[in-house]
Amino acid sequence: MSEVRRSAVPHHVVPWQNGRVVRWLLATDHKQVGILTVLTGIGFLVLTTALSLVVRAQLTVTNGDIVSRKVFAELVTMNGTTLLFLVALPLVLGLSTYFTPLLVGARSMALPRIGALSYWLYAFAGVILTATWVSNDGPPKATFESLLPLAGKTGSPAQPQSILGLALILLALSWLLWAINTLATISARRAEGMTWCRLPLFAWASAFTALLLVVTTPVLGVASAFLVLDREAGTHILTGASGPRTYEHLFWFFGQPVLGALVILAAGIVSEVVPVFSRRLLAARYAVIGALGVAAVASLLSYGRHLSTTSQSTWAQAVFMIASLVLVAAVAVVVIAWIATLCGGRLRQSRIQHHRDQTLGIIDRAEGGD
Amino acid sequence: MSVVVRRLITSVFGGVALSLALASGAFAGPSPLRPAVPASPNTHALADIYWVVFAVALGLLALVVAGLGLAVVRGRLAAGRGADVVEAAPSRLGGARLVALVAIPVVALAVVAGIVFAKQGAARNAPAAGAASTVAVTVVGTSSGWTYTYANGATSDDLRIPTGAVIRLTISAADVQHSWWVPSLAGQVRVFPGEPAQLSFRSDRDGTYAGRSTVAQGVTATPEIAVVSLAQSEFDDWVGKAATAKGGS
Repeated sequence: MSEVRRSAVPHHVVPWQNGRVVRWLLATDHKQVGILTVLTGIGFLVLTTALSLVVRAQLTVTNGDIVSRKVFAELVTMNGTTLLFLVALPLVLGLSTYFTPLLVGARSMALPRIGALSYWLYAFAGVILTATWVSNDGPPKATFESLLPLAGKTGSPAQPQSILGLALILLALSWLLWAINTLATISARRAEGMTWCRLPLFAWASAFTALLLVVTTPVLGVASAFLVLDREAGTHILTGASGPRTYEHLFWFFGQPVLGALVILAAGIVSEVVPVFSRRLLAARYAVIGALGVAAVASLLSYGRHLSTTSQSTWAQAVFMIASLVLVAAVAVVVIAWIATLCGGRLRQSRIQHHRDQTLGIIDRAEGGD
Repeated sequence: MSVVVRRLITSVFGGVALSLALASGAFAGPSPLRPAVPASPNTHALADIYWVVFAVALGLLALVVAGLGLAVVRGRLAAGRGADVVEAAPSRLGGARLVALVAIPVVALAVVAGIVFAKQGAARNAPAAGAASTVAVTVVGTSSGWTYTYANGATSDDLRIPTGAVIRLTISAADVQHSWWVPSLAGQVRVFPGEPAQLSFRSDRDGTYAGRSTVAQGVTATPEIAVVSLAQSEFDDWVGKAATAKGGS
């Protein structure tokens, strides 16, 4: 009997790798990596929720003194940083890691070890950023945007600001690897018969998000590297008069598309769920795919709406405003398609049916039945 | 009235009423959803832009909520009638219908864009026509507060201006980023160290107007802004005395 059990274990697995925890830590399977990412994101969500409760409590009373000004600046900075970089994006990317191979009919991600590396870079960045709470100087205080010159060596001499820059470099690398892996999986690992036209909406949303991240994460990495070099190596890349504005451009060239990516992935999820609940195919499916693509491009081009308009030319403002409006119009197409799908559908009434059919619908699509 | 019609009316009008109820916060007294009471041509233009955007957004929200209500009621009724049918017929949304539906938000957004462009000039710069005089002031922002320097050398921690005159500010930041923003008088101007910015506005009424920099600056509080709008004679008197006092000291 023991012989049989022993033979069931793959020959390349050494005994210490058999433990339940170790198997998760060494996981390269997309489902396990996806679950790890989502669970880590939820952990950071709990942390940032606690931070935001203190921030709101402080703001509830006029001239509140629940925490000192120093701690309040730390709370605001860490709340924004954790929420955007360690919760919002990782949660949707984790879902995508779990579901994308299933939706396109692949047995695994195209680059499973790269997928695992992507997760561990994210986890490590989160840990070192959170660890700044126990440093002598406390966490960074220059907002999640790392406003210059406040985030420079003069404005924030303490080391944690550099650690934030380092964490952003690691996160940029993590998301770049995720994007390459996802694009490789969707383009090269689709099941036979799973043409681009048949690709489920969430897979399309993942592909658009991956394209956005391929374009923008190197910019975040470079901007953060400039900041760290200026602080720690004494370079003067961002210390001139135009430095703060340059960093603002670089940061939001990443930041705005990430916000767009969150909308695109959320739209992909809803576009999968609405047809299942309505018992009919999604209305104007190709228009929705096109709208998600337009939203991706528009979210890239509209990054300037986060910038100060003080010395922005009228033309630049016009381009950023029109791109923002195009983004809204693209989302409108998707919402209209949802309403049209619901309108002629036969909506489920039983909650048990809901859960069953949602699961069946996803599995059905995972098997290429869409 | 049939059950179907009653449910439709309830859902559609209920949805619209809910949207209006949520939006009514904008009409409440001092509310973050409502722009500050305008006291200059700049902020009148900004308020116009705000209310147009607000109306368009409210209209689109009401349309979406009504559409969702209609869809849910129709879907539930259809499910009741044909519970044995697994799949409903595919939607006929496409081509001309889709274009017509998408045209609604696109036209609304185009209207918003047009109005913003038309009003942008007035929001950024006060009209020189009809102004009693022009006063130039140099403004320097630091983490501890603002310093205003007038053409005759007078300096002050608060900005005193003559009502009806065009005020031209040259704003700069000495240490970190700051924004000069008095919601009743002008739009926000954000300045970076080493990059001065210009702003002109005109106060239509005597009074004291408050503002604050909205750019975070670490452990120190963002500096408050106070603007005192005086009659021309009072302003001339004050600025003359302030210059003399500075020269004497």
